[in-house]
Amino acid sequence: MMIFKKAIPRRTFLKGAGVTVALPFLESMVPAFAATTGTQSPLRFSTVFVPNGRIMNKWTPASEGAAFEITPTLAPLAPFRDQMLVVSGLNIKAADAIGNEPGGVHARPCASFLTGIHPKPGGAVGVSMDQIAAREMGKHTQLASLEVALDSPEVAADDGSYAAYYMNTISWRSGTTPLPMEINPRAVFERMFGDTDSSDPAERLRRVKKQRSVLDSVREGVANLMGDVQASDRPKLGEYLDALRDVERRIQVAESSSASAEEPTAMERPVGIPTAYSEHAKLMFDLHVLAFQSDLTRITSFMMGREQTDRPFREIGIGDGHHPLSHHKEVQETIALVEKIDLFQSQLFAYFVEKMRATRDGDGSLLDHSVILFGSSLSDGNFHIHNNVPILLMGAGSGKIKTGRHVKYAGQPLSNLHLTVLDMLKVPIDGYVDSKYSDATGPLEGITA
Amino acid sequence: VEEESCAKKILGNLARRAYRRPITDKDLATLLEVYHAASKDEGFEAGIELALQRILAGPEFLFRVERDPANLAPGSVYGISDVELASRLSFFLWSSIPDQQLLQLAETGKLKDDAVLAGQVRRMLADPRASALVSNFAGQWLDIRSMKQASPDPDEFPDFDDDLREAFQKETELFFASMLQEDRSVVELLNADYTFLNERLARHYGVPNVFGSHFRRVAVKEEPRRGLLGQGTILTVTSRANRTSPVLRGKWVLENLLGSPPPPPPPNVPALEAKDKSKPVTMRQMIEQHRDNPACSGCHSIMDPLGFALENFDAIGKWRTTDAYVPVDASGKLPDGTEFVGVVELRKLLTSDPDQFVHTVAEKLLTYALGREVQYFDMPAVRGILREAQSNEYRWSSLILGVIKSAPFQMRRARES
Repeated sequence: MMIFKKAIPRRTFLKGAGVTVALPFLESMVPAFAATTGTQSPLRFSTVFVPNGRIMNKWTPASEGAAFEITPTLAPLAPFRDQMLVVSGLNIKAADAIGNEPGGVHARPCASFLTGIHPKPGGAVGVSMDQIAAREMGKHTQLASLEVALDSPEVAADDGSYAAYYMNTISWRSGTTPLPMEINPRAVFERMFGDTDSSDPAERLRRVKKQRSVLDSVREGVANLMGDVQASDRPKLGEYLDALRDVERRIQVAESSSASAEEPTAMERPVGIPTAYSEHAKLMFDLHVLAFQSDLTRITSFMMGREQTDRPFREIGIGDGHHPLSHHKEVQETIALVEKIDLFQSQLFAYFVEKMRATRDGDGSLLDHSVILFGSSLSDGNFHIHNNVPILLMGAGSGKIKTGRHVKYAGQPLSNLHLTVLDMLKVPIDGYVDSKYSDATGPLEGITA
Repeated sequence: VEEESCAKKILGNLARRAYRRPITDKDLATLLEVYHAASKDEGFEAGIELALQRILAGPEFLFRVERDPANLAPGSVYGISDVELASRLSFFLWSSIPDQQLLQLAETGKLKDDAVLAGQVRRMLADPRASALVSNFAGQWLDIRSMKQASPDPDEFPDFDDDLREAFQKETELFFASMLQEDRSVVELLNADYTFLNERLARHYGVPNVFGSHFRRVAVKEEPRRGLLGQGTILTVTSRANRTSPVLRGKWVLENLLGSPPPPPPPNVPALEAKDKSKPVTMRQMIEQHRDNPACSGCHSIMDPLGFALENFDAIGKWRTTDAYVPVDASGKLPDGTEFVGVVELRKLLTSDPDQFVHTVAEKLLTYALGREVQYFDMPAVRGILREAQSNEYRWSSLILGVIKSAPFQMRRARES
């Protein structure tokens, strides 16, 4: 067994923590809702998605192996070089157009990003790998998974014959259930900690008991209804039952921990959506850390922008939208602007990694016990290429990943990497690779230690 | 005991409204059970509170369930019940549950009477709750909702601020609401000679003598400004952050007014580039290259001219006669040879034969009412709604009533065995 005793750079952490954190995390304050006793910290898996591709020659290191050089877009991640694995040469095969499919050049790769399954226009996709993991790893936590984003899905544009929701999410609970991504930090906070302020254990236990009686009664109501509805409507009720199960798990965990657990007070309830992109992103990352630290969930998915987003980045002096800019037509000045956006998003991601590294978890840091997938579903946004997509893993996954390297593959499907990660998380991959629609062929060699 | 009968009464009333149908003994027993779970320790109010939670979390409230009557041949088509019709009606017009009056008429079997139904529709449209039709139907159909996120470049448009953003949205909402309330012709969406302005918006449009922040009805004397195509919302949500996009505007007109959305571009379209790089080219010249490429020209030869006609409006809907010091060329020519210059002539073209526009409205309205895409087999219904509207001066009430009386709105198919 490996023992991790990484020093926590507390000072750096405090500097970057911002105003939302009222108190530094002391070991005695780290709450444990679920059973995470002993030396074995649970593994966490997080996906951080960036939209519209990257400028690839500023992303991909020229050399492979441990001696790879830090490229301009990866520069903010240089401090974590030894915890990082840059993975090049993976293709989103499932996103290839079949026959004469109109449009979908943004939608297909995005929908296939975590699913490895080709979406037909208006059709089903498949379960995404984060949700495969959540089914298993979510058994132990109040929330099976957390999906957050920064762009409002309300006003999103379609992509050809693909509706906007193929680009508004990367998480699919089933082939027909795209999971909505929450953009309001306050709502995320309340999903994690509830919206009441009472922390009296007896009062909370009473509340939990009452919730249980409502839940049981509702479940009965659904069962009665099942027989009455058309077969085509049953999946809808099934999804509702899934949601009920989430609530039930929350109640169970609350019941078993209610006597002892204190609600974490390390972060104040966010007020709403910050105006500045960077503040919004940082707040979401803060919530990630809080969720992992409290073991409220072990799976998160975060879209730093919806695919094909038109967002301008005025904070860094960019007035035109991201998507139109990504079609830079090889004009140098435009490319420079896109590089600036890429760098900006890497910096914000680095904020998250730093915070994960600075947060103590068992015998090491949260980063030590995490696998973070960072990347985009396009490489060249100008020409909508979904081959050789920009991907990196951050965090050694409790020593399972051989980090500090750049590895290059010869066009294997991205979903093969997902198989490797699921394997690491000890999640059975049956439901993922067995699907005859999946483009996955088998776990990737050369990732693990 | 007294409390128990009180609880029964309260919960029965609430559940009837929430479930939108008469309450069965079983419904009530379920709710009472939950009521007791809390009332036995914490009293009456806690019991009602918990039972109310049960109502609002339950599938009977959250799902709109329509049950097949007994003894129906599998797959057969039948008319929905009065009570189900009441729900379809109120979710269509109010985005909410039926009120007492509507439910009562349904429960007593009177709702399907032609005169009663027409009367209810009129009453519901006049009710404040019909504003849901503006925010939900018009908001989605016309892209008004996108105004919230529109983000014009402050360097290019220092004039633009949140006051203007809100004013744009408010104008279009008030405008649309007045159309419904006054039961005007739907064609007036395109050519009405009035709109709603406050001082901020009037200044933006160059309309004199409107003072103060409140909105009021104002006659539109300048012809280009009339109707939706002259409104800031539409012109802004179809623009890029720092410039107009004739392509997006043309697409909007095709999709939302003419009901023939262009197919998406073929994959791997080469970027538009100036061929002769020695001299500057205008946006219009760049876009006109679409015509040279056969892969593009099929759609762009229709889309682009429609957008060019709106070029006198900048990316935040301000009137302009020059763009980058060059006079605006707002002329367009469709593949069939039809020529027009500017928004006024485009509008004439759209309204001279209103059937295509009204057909689109009918289709969008039916889509909204049914909550599903309109299919080829719905087309007879759409044409029926259009015919009904033709003989009623295309009034909103005739379209809405047409939707409500149409087969897809009134009928259902029984489950297959």
